[in-house]
Amino acid sequence: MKRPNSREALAYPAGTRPSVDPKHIASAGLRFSGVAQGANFLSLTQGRLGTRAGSPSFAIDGVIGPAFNAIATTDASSFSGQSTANDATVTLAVILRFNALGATQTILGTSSANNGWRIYATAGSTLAFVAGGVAVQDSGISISAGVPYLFIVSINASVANYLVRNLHTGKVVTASSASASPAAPNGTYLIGTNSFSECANAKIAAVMISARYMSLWQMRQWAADPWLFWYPRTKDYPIAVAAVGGGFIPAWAMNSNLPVIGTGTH
Amino acid sequence: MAGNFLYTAGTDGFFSTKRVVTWATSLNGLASGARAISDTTADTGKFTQSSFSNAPMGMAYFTTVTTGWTPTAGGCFACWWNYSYDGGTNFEVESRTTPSATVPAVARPPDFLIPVYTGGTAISAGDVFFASGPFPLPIHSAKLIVQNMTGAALAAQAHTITIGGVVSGYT
Repeated sequence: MKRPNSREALAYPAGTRPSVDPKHIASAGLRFSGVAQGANFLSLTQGRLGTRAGSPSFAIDGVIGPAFNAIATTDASSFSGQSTANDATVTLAVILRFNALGATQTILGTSSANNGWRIYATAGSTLAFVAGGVAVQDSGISISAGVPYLFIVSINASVANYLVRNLHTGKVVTASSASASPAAPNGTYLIGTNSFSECANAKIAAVMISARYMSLWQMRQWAADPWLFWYPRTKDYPIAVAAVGGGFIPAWAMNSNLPVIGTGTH
Repeated sequence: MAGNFLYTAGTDGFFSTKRVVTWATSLNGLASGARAISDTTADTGKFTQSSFSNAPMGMAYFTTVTTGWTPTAGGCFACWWNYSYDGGTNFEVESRTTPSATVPAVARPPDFLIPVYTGGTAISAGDVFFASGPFPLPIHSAKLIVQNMTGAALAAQAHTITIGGVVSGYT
């Protein structure tokens, strides 16, 4: 017996364990994946908590679930000992809800100094990225405070792709802009602010960084089930393993993240 | 085995008797950030597998009968099964700091959420809010902890949370 579909694609999948799924379309070249835990972030790639700075707080949100609430200028969770490679291609993604907008608000960066890559909300309330100390590119996609979002930004040498999915309505907006060449990062990933103390002022539930480029259609595929990257559909509760006698196919299907569909005799 | 893999019809989708949770500390008037915990009444306060006829998954909904409180955007009830390791005598520890909007009642992520938001307008009498999707029902004996993360204190009277099992299988 298999449990009913236990997730609404746009909502935090409560009761599901976070982990890294190497089969996910965004997992290639993965540098970092993390979810909020308490008033901090938990690295799923390294199994450790970040170093807190400032006074970030804990929140539980009705759509995005447990969240790291970075409110004041220096509120951050940082992870040292990360890659210092000067990745010319990168993908950064986040699930969050802004408390307010109207300033430059940095969400996630591959460096705690003014280099590497960062994604942020502009003072004009659009999603943008910066190659620290080198160039800024604006997606032109308008975003709003109080709305839960999935953001994906993916960049290679020639183009930057942006995807914004509203996790209330499901609406997806994409855009592309010119690219940029970054300066090498310093090996500390920073969530919630940047070296200029431009705080996210947001509840941040999940983040990821990879050193691979994603096309817009790959980003759309991911956005169809935003949480799946951080909360894979893996084995169900023991009832899945103890499936009915002769239940090889459902057990196989669950372990393969595949649904059992249709009619059959087995 | 033959047949389609379908939801079990039950009664309006609920596989077994729905349980209206009974409380040791009430939902009524629950302050923002505070938590309520179910009592030890069998099947409505202290749950076992048989409370839900061994259904592996469940759905829950919150019902209010009074107006006068307004959840903020993103507001929800965060809900945990408070597990017992000895059949319902001793239970998993809760936060030793009083839960608040910034202190979770239990260390683990919530087992399910009931989002509660009406666009910034006050809750109306009879409003019902469902959990954001079917969630695992407890394998072990458990009580229910509900933390008010709606951003507002609840009105004083007669709020309920109802939980029932949902199942799918070969027909």
